[in-house]
Amino acid sequence: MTETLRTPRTATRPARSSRLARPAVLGAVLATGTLLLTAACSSSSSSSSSSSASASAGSSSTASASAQSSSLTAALQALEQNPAFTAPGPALDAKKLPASTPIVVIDNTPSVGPLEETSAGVMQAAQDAGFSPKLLNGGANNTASDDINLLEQAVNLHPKVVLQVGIITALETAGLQYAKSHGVPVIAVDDNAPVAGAPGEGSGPLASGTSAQDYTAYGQVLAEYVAAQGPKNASVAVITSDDIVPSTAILAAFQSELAKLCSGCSVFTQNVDTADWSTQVTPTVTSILDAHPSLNYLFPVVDGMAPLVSPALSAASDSSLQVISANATPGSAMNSVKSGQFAAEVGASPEAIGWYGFDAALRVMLGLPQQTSPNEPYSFFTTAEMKAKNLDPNSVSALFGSAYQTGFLKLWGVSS
Amino acid sequence: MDARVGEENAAEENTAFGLAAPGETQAGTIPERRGAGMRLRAIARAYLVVLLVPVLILVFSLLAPSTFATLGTAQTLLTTNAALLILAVGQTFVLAVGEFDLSFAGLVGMSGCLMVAFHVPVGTALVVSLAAALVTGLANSAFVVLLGVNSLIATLGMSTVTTGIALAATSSQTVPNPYGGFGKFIIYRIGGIGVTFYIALAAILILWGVLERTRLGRNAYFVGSGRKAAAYAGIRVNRIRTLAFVVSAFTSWLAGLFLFGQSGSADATFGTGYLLTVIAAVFLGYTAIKPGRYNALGSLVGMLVLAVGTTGIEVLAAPIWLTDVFSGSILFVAVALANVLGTVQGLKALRSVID
Repeated sequence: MTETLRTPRTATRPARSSRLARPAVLGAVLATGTLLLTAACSSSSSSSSSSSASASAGSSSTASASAQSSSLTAALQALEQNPAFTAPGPALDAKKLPASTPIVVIDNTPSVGPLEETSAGVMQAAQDAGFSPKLLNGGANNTASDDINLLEQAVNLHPKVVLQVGIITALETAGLQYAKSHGVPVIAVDDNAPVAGAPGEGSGPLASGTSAQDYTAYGQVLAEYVAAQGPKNASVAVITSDDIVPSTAILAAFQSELAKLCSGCSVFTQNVDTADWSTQVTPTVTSILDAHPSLNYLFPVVDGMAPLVSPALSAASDSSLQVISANATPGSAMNSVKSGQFAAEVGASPEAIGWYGFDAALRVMLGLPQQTSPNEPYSFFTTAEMKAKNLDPNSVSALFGSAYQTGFLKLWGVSS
Repeated sequence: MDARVGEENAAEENTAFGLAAPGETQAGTIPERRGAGMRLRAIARAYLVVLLVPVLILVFSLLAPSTFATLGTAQTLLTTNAALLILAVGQTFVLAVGEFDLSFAGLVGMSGCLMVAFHVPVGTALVVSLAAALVTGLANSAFVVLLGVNSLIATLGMSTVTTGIALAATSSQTVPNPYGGFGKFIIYRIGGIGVTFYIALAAILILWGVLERTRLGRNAYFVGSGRKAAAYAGIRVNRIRTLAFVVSAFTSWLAGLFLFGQSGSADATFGTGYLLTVIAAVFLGYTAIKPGRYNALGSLVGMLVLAVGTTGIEVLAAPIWLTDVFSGSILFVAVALANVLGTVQGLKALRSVID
C-alpha cells in the first residue's frame, strides 16, 4: 500500500585477483546473508514497514450520525480554550520543608525546545515555592551512559529529591538503582504517561513519580475530530515513530477511538524512526499523497515532524487534505496550525508539565501519597480558533494560559 | 603471499588527518644525536595530554569543590565511561593497523537488541549476539581486505546495516532487559566502581601488552606504517587486518552488553552517540604517551580527558554547547600542539645535522 524507502546502494570495487575474488565475494555474501537472515527471523516488522488496518466494527451509539457529530464538535469546542487548573492531589504545605532543602533538576536534552521549557517550568515552580534548586545540564552525546552519569552525579550531591527532564527511565536502570541505594527519590518529568496508583506513577518501580502529557487523551481527541468533521469513510494516513514512547500510546488511542466512532473509516500507518526524520519524512509524505489521492487526513503523530511535513504539503495539489497532530508545540508546529497548513492540534503547556512534576516531588519529600489525578489538562486548537482569537503561536502563555501557576501556589500553601 | 590486494601505503591513510605515520615526527625522522633539551621536549610532547587530566581535575575541583571533587564523582565517571573505554580498545587496534571501523556505532545497538530478539535463555542470547558481532567483523574484513573496499566506506555501510537489523529486532522500540541476573552483574560495583570499568581496564592493559610487548603488536604497527613493506618483510598483512576488524567487533559487542545491562533495555541507537567521542578519545591518545602512534595507554588518557571535561562541565551546569565545543576543540588543540612540538623538535634536529 505504501512504498518502502530504500537506502542508496554503495558501489563495490571489483576484486583485483580472481583467485581471491571468488572466496571474497562468497564470504561477503554469506556474511551479509547471515546478518539479513538474522534480522528477518527476529521480527515480524521493520522500521520502514507499513501496516494497514481498518478501524472496523466499532459499535456506535444509537444516536444518529449527525447527532454524534454535533455532540463531538461541541465537546471539542469546549477544549478550545486555556485549560483550567486541575489539582493533581489534595492540598499540601510546602512550608514544612526548609528553604535550604537540596533539590537537583537534570535537564538532559536542553537542545530540545519543549523540554527546555519544561525544565524552566520545574525550576520556576521550585523557586516560586521558596526553594533554590540546582540545575545540571547534560545530553552532550545523548547516550545511555550520559543519562546514567548525570543521574549519579545528581545523587552524589545528596539531594532530597532529583527531578529529571526528558530522560527515558527505561534506559537508565543502573542510575535509578544507584539513586535507590542512596535513598534519593527520582521524579521522571516528561517520561511515560502518568498512571495514578501505578509504581512511579507509570515510570516504573525505581521512580517515585512522574508528570507528562495525557497522550491517550490526545489520540482520542483527534479521533473525535476526524469522526466529527470527516466523511463516513474517511481515510487517515498516520506517520508514527515507534521509537518515541508516547507515539505508541497516541496511535493506539487514536485507532481504538476511531474504530468506536467511525466504522467506515480506515487508518494506515507508516513508521519513520526519529533518526531518519530529516531524510525520510518529506519523501514519505510525498509518496503517501501520490499513492492515496483521496486521502482525507494526514496525521504525523508528533508535531516535531511539522517542518518536514510542510514541504511535501506545499507541493501537493489536494486542498481538501487535512493535517492533524499532537503536542501543540509552540513555534513552528503551531504556526502551521494558524496558517492553515495544519487543521488541528491537541496538546498541553510544556512549562506546566514541570509544575506538575514539582508537585509530585513535593509529595515525595513530605512523605505524602502519590498524586490522585496526575494527568495534565490540555487544549485543542483549530485554524479557525487561532485566527479568530489571534493567538500567538510562539507564546506558551498565550496558547495555554498560566492558571496552573496560581493554582499550584495555592495548593502548596505558598500563596492564599 | 596473502597481502596482494589493496596494499596501498597505510601511511597515506594515517596522514589523512594530519597525523604522522608511526615512528616519524611531523617534520621527519629524528637523528639519534639528541640534546637534553630535545629529550625534555620529547617527554613534554609525550605527556602534554596526560597532564591535561590532573589540570582539568584541579580546575573543576576549584570551580566546584563541593560537587566535582568527590569520591562519588570519580566512581561515577569511571563506571559510566566503561563503554567508551572498551570501544576505544577496538578502535585503537584497528587504527594501529591503518584501517577505520565505523561499524561499531551500529554494532553496539545490534548487540543489545539481539539479546532480546529471540526470547531465549541468557546463555543462548549471548552466543547469538556474539556470533552476529563476529560475523559483522568478518564481513567488514571481507569487504576491506579481500574486496579492497575503502574501510571508511565499508564500515560506514555496515554501521547502517547493523542499525537496521537492530531496529528490526526490536521493532524500533526500547525493549526491557529480561535477564535480571545478567543486569545485576553488569551494574555490580567493586569499591564503588562498576565491574564494567574493570573489564574495560583489563582489556586496555591486554591491548597495551599485545601492542608493546609482542611480535603481533610490532607487526600490527608495521602493517599500519606500510602494508607493502610489511608484506615484503613476510608479515601476514591481511590476517592482521582481519584480526583487527574482529577484535573491534568483539569490543563493540562488549560495549553493547555494557549499555544493555546498565540501561536495563535494548535500543538500536545506543551506539550512535559514541561515534565521534570514541574516535576523539583514540586520536587524543595518538598524541599521548607515544606520540605519533595509536597506543593503548594513550587511548585511556584520551578517554579520561574527555570524561573529566564533560563531567566537569555538566556538574558546573554550564551551557550545553560548551560540552560540544570542549570535546571538539580539545581534540584539535591537542593534535595541533603535538604537531607544533614535533615540528620544533624536527627543526632542532635538522639544525643539529647542518651544524
